[in-house]
Amino acid sequence: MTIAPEGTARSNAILAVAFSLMLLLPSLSRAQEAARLDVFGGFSYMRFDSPSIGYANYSNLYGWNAGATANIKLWLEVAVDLSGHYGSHLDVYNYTFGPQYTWRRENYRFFVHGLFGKDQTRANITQPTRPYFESVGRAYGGGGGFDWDCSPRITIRVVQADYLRTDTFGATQGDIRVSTGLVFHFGHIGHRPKL
Amino acid sequence: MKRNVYLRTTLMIAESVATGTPQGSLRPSRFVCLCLIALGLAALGGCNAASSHTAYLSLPESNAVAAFRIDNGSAKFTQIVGSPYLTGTSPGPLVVNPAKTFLYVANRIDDTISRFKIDSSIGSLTEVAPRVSTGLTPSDMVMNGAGTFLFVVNQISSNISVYSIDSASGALTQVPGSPFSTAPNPVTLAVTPSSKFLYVVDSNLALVFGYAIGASGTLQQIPNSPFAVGNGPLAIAIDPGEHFLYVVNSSDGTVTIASINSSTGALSEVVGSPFGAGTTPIALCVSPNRQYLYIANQGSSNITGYTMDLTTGFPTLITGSPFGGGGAPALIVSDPNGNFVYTVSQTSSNITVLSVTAGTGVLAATSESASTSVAAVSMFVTK
Repeated sequence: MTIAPEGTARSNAILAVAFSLMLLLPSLSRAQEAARLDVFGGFSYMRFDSPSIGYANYSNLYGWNAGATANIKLWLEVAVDLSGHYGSHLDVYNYTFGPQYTWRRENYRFFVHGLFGKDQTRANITQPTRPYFESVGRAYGGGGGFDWDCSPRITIRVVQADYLRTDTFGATQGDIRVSTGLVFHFGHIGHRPKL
Repeated sequence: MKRNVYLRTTLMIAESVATGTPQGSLRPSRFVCLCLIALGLAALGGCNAASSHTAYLSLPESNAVAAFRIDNGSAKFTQIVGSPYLTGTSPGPLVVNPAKTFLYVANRIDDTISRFKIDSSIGSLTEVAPRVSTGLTPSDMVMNGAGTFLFVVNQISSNISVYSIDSASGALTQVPGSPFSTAPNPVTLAVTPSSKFLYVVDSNLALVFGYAIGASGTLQQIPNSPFAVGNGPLAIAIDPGEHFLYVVNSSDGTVTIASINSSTGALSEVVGSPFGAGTTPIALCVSPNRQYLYIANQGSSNITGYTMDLTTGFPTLITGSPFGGGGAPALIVSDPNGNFVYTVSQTSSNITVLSVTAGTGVLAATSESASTSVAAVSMFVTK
């Protein structure tokens, strides 16, 4: 048994479910209003596919995840997603953006998104001539999450989970990222319900 | 099993969303719980990484050491991040201590030994200064089984440098009396697993010199040493059971097999020795279970395989031998589990992976391979 086939099967399953949700969600949207801009920030965990760059095992990295979402329609948004994760002599940064579909209910939301952009991975292996090795490559993937409103302006992002494929150090990685934090809302679009 | 539960959970979520019944059968709180369970299972599934070992190859044209992680099951090579790592000028022999915490590489033009700290999780190398001086043109290097002494044979200065190793820092300190003189043009050496005896091959004289290793690392020539072998001996190996010694004679195209006297270290050729090999054999390895002996024939671009009689030392040619070896093999190393043999070609800079058929020792080609940027002259595979 090898590592790669297991990881590939799991990642394909995640992507298939995420894609299915993306197709289904727009028609199920029910809310009548949304914020013009959502800004998210929070804690994040990443299981980095470090065997692809010669590590003996996968690496558990911890860091931050931040992003902003501009609402174009009630169900369609453009998401910018940034994250940084650290540990196991690794610093991993992802800079991505992509479409996001949101299914809005009265005080909670499900969303799924596709992400495309760049990955920057730094291996902190000190050498006499350099302090680290760094590689920048493309990143793409997708995921989704669940938000729960706790006030008109602030929402708790209970969970955001993404699968990211990245190409660094001449290899392809399949990374899983899980984040949680707060979402702040600015402005609004759509119709406010009459009281 | 875990993956099935995970898939069922995610499909259940998708189905509930698709049917628009989140407040009925799938409330938000339940959704959150299912999400967390699914993610937890996914993370746990990812932790089951296959076991692996590492390989290091010296690249004299790049003044560097290449590092690979090798999957135990498939023998897939993955280059370790940051590899190749810079060394001194013209790195040659290299060795890793049994704890796998330090790698030593001899720089053949600098006449020094570089010490690298090995990161336990990555396998990456970081050189620890300073480099230690050795004799002129260190041509081979071995460590005793306990990892307490390092033996370096210096081809031009015709001596053997012996270093004691600090287990914590890996630092080398030359033992009293070192370097120990030997005959002109020594090329390679081997130490018995019990660390009792050291054997040095002299290529020009076609002799093997035997030494008893003292408690402090001092060398004392064995009575009746040296022992005659065939012409042009270039490589030596000792069976893990410490009963037999093998020397390939490149000019003759043969392998000399001698039994080792366990108390004196004296060598006695087994009946029928030397045995045939291919054209210009220059490297050999013994399988970890001692059953098979493989000889890399650079001239005939193949590998001779023998099944060993562990009592008499008499070899029997394996059916199908010689085997294809990936083109002019210059190095041959067995994987620590005895499931694969790796050969390195200096003409193509390729590493070829051959699988070992259990029970017969037959070598078969695999789809796995790797390459280095320039030709490698030495390879060390960790356990």
